[in-house]
Amino acid sequence: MSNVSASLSAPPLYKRILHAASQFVREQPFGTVGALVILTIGFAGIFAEWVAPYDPLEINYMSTFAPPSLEHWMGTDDFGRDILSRLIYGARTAMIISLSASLIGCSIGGIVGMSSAYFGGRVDFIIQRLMDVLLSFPIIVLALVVVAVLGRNPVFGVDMNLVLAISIPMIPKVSRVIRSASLQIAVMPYVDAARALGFNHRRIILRHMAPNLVAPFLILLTAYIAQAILLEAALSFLGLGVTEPTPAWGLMLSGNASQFFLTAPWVIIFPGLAISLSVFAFNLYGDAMRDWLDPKFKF
Amino acid sequence: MLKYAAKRILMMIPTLLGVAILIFILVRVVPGDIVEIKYGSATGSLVPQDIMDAERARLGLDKPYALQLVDWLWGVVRLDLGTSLWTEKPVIHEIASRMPITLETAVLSTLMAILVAVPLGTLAAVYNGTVIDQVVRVLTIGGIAIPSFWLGLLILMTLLAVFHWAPPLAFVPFHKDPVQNLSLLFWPAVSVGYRLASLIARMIRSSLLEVMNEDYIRTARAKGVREALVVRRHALRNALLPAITVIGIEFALLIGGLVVTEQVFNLNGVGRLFIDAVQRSDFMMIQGLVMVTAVFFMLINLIVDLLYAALDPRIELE
Repeated sequence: MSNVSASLSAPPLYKRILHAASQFVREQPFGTVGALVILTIGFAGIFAEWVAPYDPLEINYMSTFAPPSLEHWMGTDDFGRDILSRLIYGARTAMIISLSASLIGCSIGGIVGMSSAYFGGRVDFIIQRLMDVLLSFPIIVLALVVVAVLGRNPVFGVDMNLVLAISIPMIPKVSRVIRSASLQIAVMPYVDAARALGFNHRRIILRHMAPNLVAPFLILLTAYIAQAILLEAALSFLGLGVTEPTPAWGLMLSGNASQFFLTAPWVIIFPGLAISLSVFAFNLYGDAMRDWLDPKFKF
Repeated sequence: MLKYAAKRILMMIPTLLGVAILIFILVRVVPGDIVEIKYGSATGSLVPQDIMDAERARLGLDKPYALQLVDWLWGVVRLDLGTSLWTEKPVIHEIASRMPITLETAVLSTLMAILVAVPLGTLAAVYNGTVIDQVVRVLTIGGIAIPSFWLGLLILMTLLAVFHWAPPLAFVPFHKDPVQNLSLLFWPAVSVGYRLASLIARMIRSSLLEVMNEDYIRTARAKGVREALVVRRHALRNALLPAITVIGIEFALLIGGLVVTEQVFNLNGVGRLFIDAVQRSDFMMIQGLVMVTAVFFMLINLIVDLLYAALDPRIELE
């Protein structure tokens, strides 16, 4: 990170975070816009009960396919459900799934990559060949197989196996990037010192190497959240992801939604816009994070 | 180079073995098998157990897993991927009959993406920081954010609503009827090609910007070469190299990535075959498809690396 100021007593954590945030806002206007959009979507998702004008599951056969109006800003779908409300609750689904999938995928990938670099030699070789195997499965194919294998396992209304299916394809890619970043760190004197002190491997990897890989980790994490949103939408669209009646953006586009698009284009247009806007925001924010933390970092 | 290629191909064997074993295990962990789906026992129909057992025996699903695994691996070695449990035709024929549609869409979208992306990326780099650069940036960020299946739906919607035209239903090979062939595959290719074009354009822009700072560019300018020539002959040639990697990897991923687009456009390609196989628990078909896509992915990767070395003499293959 740039601008590490050496002061005698470090300011408290909240002050440092505030300082970093204000610096980010000044230096990265695009990233700030992205962050604001993400915060808005996240806020809407968290407080969906208060933000959404209608119950997203409430079926009303009296007003199916109502066009956008003051009453229903984005119209209603084939069951007469309010699309805006479904989008707002869908934001919650998308955020929970993509955040946890990215966190799981990047953490496992990170640990695998760090271990691979730290142990080197035969361990490194075997891990890398295993990653080769995972890498040669196309992402969506891997996710499809995982979904089919694990079935459904809802935890608090979110299908944890879907989360796993989205995070597993990330592991080989993240581990590659983190491995190459860790290779430089594994030979640092402080890692040698930790070894000399007789710390165990786990402690060296997690306490000595990991803190120095926070920047690439954060960059990858944001980038993969965007990918996870797209993958979740694609799986739900195929009918293999989130299932009815849970409101999810990809699911809103699937099934017979495409048969009505001539009479009710809003059924198709708004969920797609929601997906695109959130992925767009995460990409803007992610790009800015990379420029800000480590402009030379490539993945 | 030949030695390197041979070594790489040899290295593929253990990886493919890993893929073959992994997918074999994965599909067998799935609860329920094709016999249950065939007889609809999930939906509550009561088929006597002995009929189901007989069917399992007929399909070879009653053999011990170890034996099935050996059969499967031995088949893979002989390029025999077994028979589909659903259609009971050879898996390799089923895949081969669906491959042209997927492969052609992938090639078409990649070609279109390159044709659009190279000039766009170059313009954005040459006019770095101007309005042109900003327009390209917005277009390409959009391409990465918009899901291809949604773009496909929007395209279909526009074609129907505005032009009252729908793509033809049947696939005909290009050499038989190029017009019908292209009018079927053009739009799916556009909807996946947009993302690809965005990735390539961004890559070209950033690598061109990097190259433009090199000494040889300054030399070329100093000796009075026209700017257009500097960009085309000196800079772009070097900047295209990293783009080749992106193009190759994305092309290899397309074979799997077309799954969703084929669903939107109702194309009877490999992706559709895959979804059907997953829904029917057709183990042999899933295994075969994964093997084929994995081989394809690895070969494309190898070709990219070889091409890279052939184009850039500074790179030495070890």
